[in-house]
Amino acid sequence: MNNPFKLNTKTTWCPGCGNFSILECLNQTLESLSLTPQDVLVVSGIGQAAKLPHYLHAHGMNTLHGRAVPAAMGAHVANPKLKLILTSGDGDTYGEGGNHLLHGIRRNLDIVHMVHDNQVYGLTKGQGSPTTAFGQVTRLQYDGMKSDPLNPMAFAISIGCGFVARSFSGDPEHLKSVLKAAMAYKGYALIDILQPCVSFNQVNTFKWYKDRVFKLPETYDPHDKVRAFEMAQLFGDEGIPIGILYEETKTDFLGRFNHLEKPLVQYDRSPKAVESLLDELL
Amino acid sequence: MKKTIVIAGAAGEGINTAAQFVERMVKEKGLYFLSYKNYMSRVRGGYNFTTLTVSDIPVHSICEEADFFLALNDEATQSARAHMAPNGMIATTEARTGEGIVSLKSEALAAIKNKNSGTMAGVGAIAAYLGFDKENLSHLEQAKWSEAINQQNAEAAALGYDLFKAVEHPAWQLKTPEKPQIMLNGNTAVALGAIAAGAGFYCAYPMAPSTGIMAYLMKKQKETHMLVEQAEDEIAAMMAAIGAASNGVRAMTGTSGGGFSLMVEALGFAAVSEVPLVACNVQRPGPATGLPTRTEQADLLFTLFASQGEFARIVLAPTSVSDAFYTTFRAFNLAEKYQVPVLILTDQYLADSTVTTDRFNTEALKIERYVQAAPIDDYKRYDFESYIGNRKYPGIDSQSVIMTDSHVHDVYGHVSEAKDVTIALKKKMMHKMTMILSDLNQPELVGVSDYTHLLIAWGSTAGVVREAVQLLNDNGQKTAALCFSDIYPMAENVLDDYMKPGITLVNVEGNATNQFGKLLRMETGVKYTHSINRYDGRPFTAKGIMQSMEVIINE
Ligand SMILES: Cc1ncc(C[n+]2csc(CCOP(=O)(O)OP(=O)(O)O)c2C)c(N)n1
Ligand code: SF4
Ligand SMILES: [Mg+2]
Repeated sequence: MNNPFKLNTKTTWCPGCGNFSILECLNQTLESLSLTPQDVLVVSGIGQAAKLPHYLHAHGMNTLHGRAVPAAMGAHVANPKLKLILTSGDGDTYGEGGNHLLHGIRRNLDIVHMVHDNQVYGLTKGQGSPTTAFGQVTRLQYDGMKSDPLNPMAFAISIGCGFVARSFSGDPEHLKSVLKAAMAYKGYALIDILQPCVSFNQVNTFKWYKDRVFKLPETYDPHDKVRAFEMAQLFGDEGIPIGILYEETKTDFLGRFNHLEKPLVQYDRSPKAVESLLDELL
Repeated sequence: MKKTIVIAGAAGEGINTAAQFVERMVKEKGLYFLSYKNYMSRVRGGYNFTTLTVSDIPVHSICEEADFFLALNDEATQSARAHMAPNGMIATTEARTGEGIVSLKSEALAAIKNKNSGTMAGVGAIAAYLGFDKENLSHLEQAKWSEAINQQNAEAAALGYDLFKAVEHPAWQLKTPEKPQIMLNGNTAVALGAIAAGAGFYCAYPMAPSTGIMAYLMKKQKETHMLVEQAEDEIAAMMAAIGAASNGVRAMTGTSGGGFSLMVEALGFAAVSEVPLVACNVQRPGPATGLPTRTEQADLLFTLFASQGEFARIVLAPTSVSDAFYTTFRAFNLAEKYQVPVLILTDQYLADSTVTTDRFNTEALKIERYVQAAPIDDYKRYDFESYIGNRKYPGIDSQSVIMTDSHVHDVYGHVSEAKDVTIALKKKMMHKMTMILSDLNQPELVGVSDYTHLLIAWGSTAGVVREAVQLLNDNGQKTAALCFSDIYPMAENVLDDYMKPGITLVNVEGNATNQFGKLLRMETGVKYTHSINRYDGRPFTAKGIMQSMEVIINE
């Protein structure tokens, strides 16, 4: 049987881009969970990565640059029955949308947030992103980046994200296993996916990542926050750990509102609802 | 018959409490009032006052001259004189006497060891001034206070009542109540309109003077089965509302100009993705931080044209508290009918004015969703030929897959750069503007039909202008006012029925640049010749407009 999520559309991604593998891994994971396209809502911002909702068959929202997280929140409170996936770039997520990420995590939205981290702005042709290394030369920053790079994993752990993981588009089996675990997690699951951009990042290439990533050992306990924070410091020549760095069970956003018995979208509403409120104003 | 009570003092001295007690008594008497807080943007201190205009007919305008002035400290007592109507009375909590001044101080009052006793004595004095029975003072307790405090307050109020009763003051005749009145402010009316319309989600970021909408909805979210969330910023607030609205839940956000500035990109997203979004901009003076707790009507053209590109939107500006309820209700039906953002434009004056008004009638209100629930083969979410009723959202049926997109997109919501698609999408958005016109209300004409002067007003100013026209015509003038509540889109011929040879057109607006006047000229080609503007952060008054009109008429 064909994968129901697969669409035969042409993409506007460059040949060799890491995004293809991410899309394929997502399609396969969704199918492996026996979900249908009608069960899934894929939300994104704007960027190369954020085009993904147009390239698979499921409900989609291609929103604005940096604004996918709050849009996803609104969608989620309206209809939590939809499996919510957010897929966007490092610039979108950590730059323009940084504030929303912070607060989305604080709310603990039940979401799988995949960050296609190519350490560069792809769509706008090669400017530095929040994860571009200090001093790295880009098409814009000819004299090198003057800001320190963000460490998204340490950031997420420190602000209380309950599922913090890293994977690599060049290791589809690993990515699928992390995705599957994220889908099973109830709460904010952030996955930073190392994704080579063949056109605009000549430093963090497929080989660069391949030579540095290593899988977290089976003995690694993702519930140890201090150890996770330590692990999250590793990036670059000392190696890049991939896998679930941190995991913690906590009540998700909608679980914190006990006055709703069903999804908002299922309530039948009537103007008569104001009558008792008007009585109070008499 | 109309009486204006002013209660003045520093923040923290009980102005609000006193005003609430007086409002409650006035309402129990079945009288109409409009009460407006004039407060500075700080929590303690400053010079603040509340103006309460009481009448036996609905009140739209405050009055700046006090018939009764309650001064809660020395500064207020000293400035009272400048605010008095002829024969007005001043009551003060200070030890001061003189022509028209009554000190509320007494040994008995001093014996009540309670910081609010002076304020409560003032409430008693107001009751006596308005000719209420002493009985009316008996309901003044507040549940959140201890019994002992409530008891002390009642005693203080009774002392003030007796003291003032003995003072000679003008009497006035009260009529008996006709039907129960509800009491609320403009922000609560907007919130109730949203609840009546079946809103399920409200998301906003606190910003005066809009916060009251969120506060009311939050307090009621359990019984209304809503979810109310404080966003991290206004961009998130509007994006979240769009997220919910595109998934089948009526959703709304609210803010003031600064926050609306942040929402601008999201507004265009709602438009191009045909999401029925409702947003309220409660105006305060700008630019930037401006005057947080004061009023202005200077965001009109910004609200009308905010966001890049060209798209369809609806702008509605309720003229009264009651209109704010019905207009907000309508906003949701219009948003879903035309799948456009609907912007409700109020202002601090309307938002923070508490009035008594006739109970809202929900009989005629009908929630209309304009959705397509049945599965359709090859469903086209953005069919360029289909305008009304073709709306689906994720989960509405078991087969459709819905794409919501911010680009120029094809009928399925997928990005397209094709010329014909670009044109078709544009044409659809433009044609919506024409279609919407048939659903918008005409402006309301008030005053005499053989007018020599026609005043033009919109939003909360229209309410005030209505009273000004009455005053002018009572003085023998022939004036009328055209009051706009539905603002945009605007029909080219909107003025045709009202423009007569020889009349003078006077534009009245709470801004310096006559934004509505400019809009009228742009859309109809008609230009006003005179204008009355106010932009000191304070609301218009009927008397002020009348005086400006007299100058214009006598030119
Ligand atoms: C408000 C706004 N600012 C800027 C842009 C231009 N823009 C589009 S995508 C992008 C950055 C994309 O980088 P990233 O999120 O890392 O995605 P990638 O293309 O690398 O996948 C920018 C700056 C925009 N669309 N909207
Ligand atoms: S620019 Fe980079 S990220 Fe974008 S498609 Fe090309 S290779 Fe991929
Ligand atoms: Mg990127």
